[in-house]
Amino acid sequence: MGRLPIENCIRELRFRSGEMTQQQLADRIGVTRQTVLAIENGKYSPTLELAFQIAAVFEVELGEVFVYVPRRRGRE
Amino acid sequence: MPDLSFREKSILGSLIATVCVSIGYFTLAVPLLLQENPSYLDFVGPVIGAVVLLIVVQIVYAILIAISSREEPRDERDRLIDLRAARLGYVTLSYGVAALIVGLAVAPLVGRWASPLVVLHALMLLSTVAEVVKFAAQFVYYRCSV
Repeated sequence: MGRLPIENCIRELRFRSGEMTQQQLADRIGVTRQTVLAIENGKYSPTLELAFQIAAVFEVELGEVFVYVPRRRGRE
Repeated sequence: MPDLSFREKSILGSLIATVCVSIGYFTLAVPLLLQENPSYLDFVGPVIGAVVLLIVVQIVYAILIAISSREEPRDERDRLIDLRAARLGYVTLSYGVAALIVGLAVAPLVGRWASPLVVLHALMLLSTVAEVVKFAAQFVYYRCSV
């Protein structure tokens, strides 16, 4: 299970938001800390609704939290 | 092993308990099945014992991990993992049942192996294997993330 094509800067946003912990973010968006960890590490893509909730917590636009990085094809 | 979440501990416990109790039961059941004329009554004790043991072990284990870990409500990732693991379990069960049906179709060639008791235990084994596959898949998805 490799990295997903969606990258994020949630860890950086947490630190900028008064060093918010993963557990604190998880509590605010209604998921487990493990889910936040999985999202930060690019191992899990949240639903659109959850992604918007995360952006709302940090008071930024969705595109400032998540970035789509298409996978390179082998023969380009 | 890295720190496991409450759900991972729960799944791991269920997996190990199911495997151990099943191995114990089939270790008792197979020799009975190989007897000349096995009776249904021969299996009542082992079945009841296995079911009771599994329930007791799971309850005790659940209490222990509830004391040591904080239970968290299920979120979307938990539901996704449950769905994917359930699908794998279902596929396992489906292939197993299909194989059993084929086996029953050729049963006249194999004589006693198509007895109701053997079929019953084959179905029990398939259900157990499917359950083990589901638990294992859940644990792997949590460890490797999905």
